[in-house]
Amino acid sequence: MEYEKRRDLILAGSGTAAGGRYNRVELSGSCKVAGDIECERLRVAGSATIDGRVKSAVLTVSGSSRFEGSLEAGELEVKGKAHIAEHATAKRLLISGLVHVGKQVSGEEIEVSGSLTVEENCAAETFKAKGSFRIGGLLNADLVDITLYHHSEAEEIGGEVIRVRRGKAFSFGRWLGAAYRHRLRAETIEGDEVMLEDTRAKMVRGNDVKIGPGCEIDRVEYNGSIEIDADAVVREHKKI
Amino acid sequence: MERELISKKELLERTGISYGQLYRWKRKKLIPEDWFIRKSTFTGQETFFPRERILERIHKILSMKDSHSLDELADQFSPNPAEIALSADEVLKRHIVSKTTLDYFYEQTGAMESFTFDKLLQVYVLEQILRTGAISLDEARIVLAALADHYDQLQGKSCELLFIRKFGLATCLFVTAPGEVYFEKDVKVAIRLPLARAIEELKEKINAT
Repeated sequence: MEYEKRRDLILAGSGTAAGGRYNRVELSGSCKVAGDIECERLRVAGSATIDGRVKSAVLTVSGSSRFEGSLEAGELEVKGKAHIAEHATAKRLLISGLVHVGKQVSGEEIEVSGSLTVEENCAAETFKAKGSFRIGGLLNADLVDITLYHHSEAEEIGGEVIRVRRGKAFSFGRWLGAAYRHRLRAETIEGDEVMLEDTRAKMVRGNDVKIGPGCEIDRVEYNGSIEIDADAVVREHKKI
Repeated sequence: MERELISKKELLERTGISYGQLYRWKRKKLIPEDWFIRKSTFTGQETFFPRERILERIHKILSMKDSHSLDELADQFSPNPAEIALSADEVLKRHIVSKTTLDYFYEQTGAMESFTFDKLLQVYVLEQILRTGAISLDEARIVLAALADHYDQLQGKSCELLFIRKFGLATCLFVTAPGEVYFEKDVKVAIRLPLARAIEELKEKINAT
């Protein structure tokens, strides 16, 4: 693709533009784009609504944005707010702001330090979260690495290595006791290596399972080793 | 639509694969989403798979994964047709269909120099259903026509071809997964052919040389 021949689209202030193929797209101010966009870089700094599909090598949102169609990016960085009505696909997805996805998310690397809500499944090679997330379906990644600073939940979590740790920072919650602790909630967690802290799950399956402090698990099935912390509740565990 | 199921636990035990592999293959679409069947059991939610198909698929992946990348495998297993055109000679040479089937196909459609994937699939399905011996040439024509008509709608879906008979009356239908069909007692199911599998076999044959 020859991006040199494409023109830039720069909207500042309030305006409306048609979709199309561009080189660089900058949307600041309050704007609306009607139609699909394909571009090399897209930056949303103000408040923008895009009524179509978006395909961009680099996409940055620092303002507030609404994408009515699906979104495909090489790198997607959201420091502000993004609402994506359809699927979101990105090689690298960095979220320090607030993201809501109406359907599925897939990528290679996902890092969440803000907040991510996905209505359906979320798949990646690595999923790292230090913020909060809510996933309506399956969270599927080779490596799931979660440090809990906020409440998080997923219907199911599956992968090779699943690590959930308690955030180290001082929090009033911990000081106030267990009831206020930030927790991860999931129906089922399955992985080859599962290490959990502060997790509430109905079923945990794995080869080597470590249930750390603050966990409450209904049933653990394992076929290698198991370790249960004194400060964890496991109602049932069984070697398969 | 599947008769026998296997639980995830048993699957991992029998094939020796790990959770990580299973989830990775699911993510890469080497195992179709609709093969993951959730059921409630006394220990809570469990996942089941169509037994025969998943075991076959896993063995195929295991035997090919060292020589092919996961993306290549995903292409091969995908129900989306490959972009390709073969000449009539190549169709015979790669043993996709027999000469008899090809001649019969020509009778229906007129002679063809090159075959695109949809035509290849039609003639391949024709070969498969004739080979079962369960239907006649005339009846096969019904299937061919139906397949040609609905090919576009069926693209990318995993579906099954059913050919049924009742009191000398014959017809065919396509059922997309996940879905089940139940028949009244006089209906005989003459042919039940999973198209996704036919597509996969066909791709294997196309890529064979």
